[in-house]
Amino acid sequence: MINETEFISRLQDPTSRETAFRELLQLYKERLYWHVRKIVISHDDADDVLQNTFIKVYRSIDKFKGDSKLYSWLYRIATNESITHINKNAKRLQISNEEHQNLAINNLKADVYFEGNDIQIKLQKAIASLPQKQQLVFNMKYFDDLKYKEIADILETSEGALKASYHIAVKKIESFLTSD
Amino acid sequence: MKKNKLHNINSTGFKTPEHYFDTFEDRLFDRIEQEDIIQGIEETGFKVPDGYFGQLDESIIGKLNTEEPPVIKLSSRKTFYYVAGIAASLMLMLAIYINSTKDEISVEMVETYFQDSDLDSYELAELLLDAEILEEDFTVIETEFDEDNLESYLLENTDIESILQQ
Repeated sequence: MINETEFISRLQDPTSRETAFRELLQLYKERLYWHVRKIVISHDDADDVLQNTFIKVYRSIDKFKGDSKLYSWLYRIATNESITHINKNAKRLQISNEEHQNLAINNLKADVYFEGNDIQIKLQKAIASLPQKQQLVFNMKYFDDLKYKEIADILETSEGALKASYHIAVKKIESFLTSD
Repeated sequence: MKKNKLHNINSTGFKTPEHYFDTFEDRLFDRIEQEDIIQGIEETGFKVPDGYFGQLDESIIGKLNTEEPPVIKLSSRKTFYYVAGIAASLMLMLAIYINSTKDEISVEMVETYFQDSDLDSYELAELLLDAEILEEDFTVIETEFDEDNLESYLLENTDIESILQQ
């Protein structure tokens, strides 16, 4: 188990920064990739966002004061980068964020980095139909199996509000999946 | 349908290219290195002539005050209509000219010709000798004068030019 305070010090020390950063990548790159991928849908977008996330971490590690856990800070940056990425793409294509997400999901059938079936595509459509915060909560709870406390730290909200959001999200998705 | 229940779907179906995570660090550090190089470049290397910005305002304002020449589109539809109109007019005029040469000479044209020419009565009389003149070509006017008296009057009257002009 890594001592977080000591690890952050190594990340902030220029002499040990690169070694410590490589360790950070080993620890978080896959977890953050899947978190980002579920938000932006396509692999290419997820790769862009993941790189942007770690570059931001590398450049701003000196500003990290340790007010929150390192993982929640990383997840927060990744979440914000994902949302910013979607906003930028939607603006460039002159469509709404919802239309952008539906477009990404419709492209899944032809995506070589998607091996799901029609039910899994339908689940993505169901998730995309939710408000953004419910989407995030559902993905982090259902697929990543994060604890409410961890999700609350990442999204900087209360556990009670998260539980309510998650249950509403599940009900909506179940209803979506069983409809024609 | 059982398969459509949420609890039966345990994965997203997303996958990554082969060795994506193995190569991620190297690609990330390459990008960080490139960004560092770019950030280290503080100037583009472009230069402007001495005093360029000092006279730029005047140069722009000077251009605003000169009248912009009208832009004429070479291939506009309006130009095409003009050219087509001129061509059609020329063809019409040519057609009228060709057709007009086939027309018979009008009475007015003959009258004008004789009025403008210097032919005198004798020359006219000579022309009449060559022409076949029929009695029907003349309008006989009944007069109260005796034919003999009229003939002698005409013989005595030498100013036939004025009669012809009447």
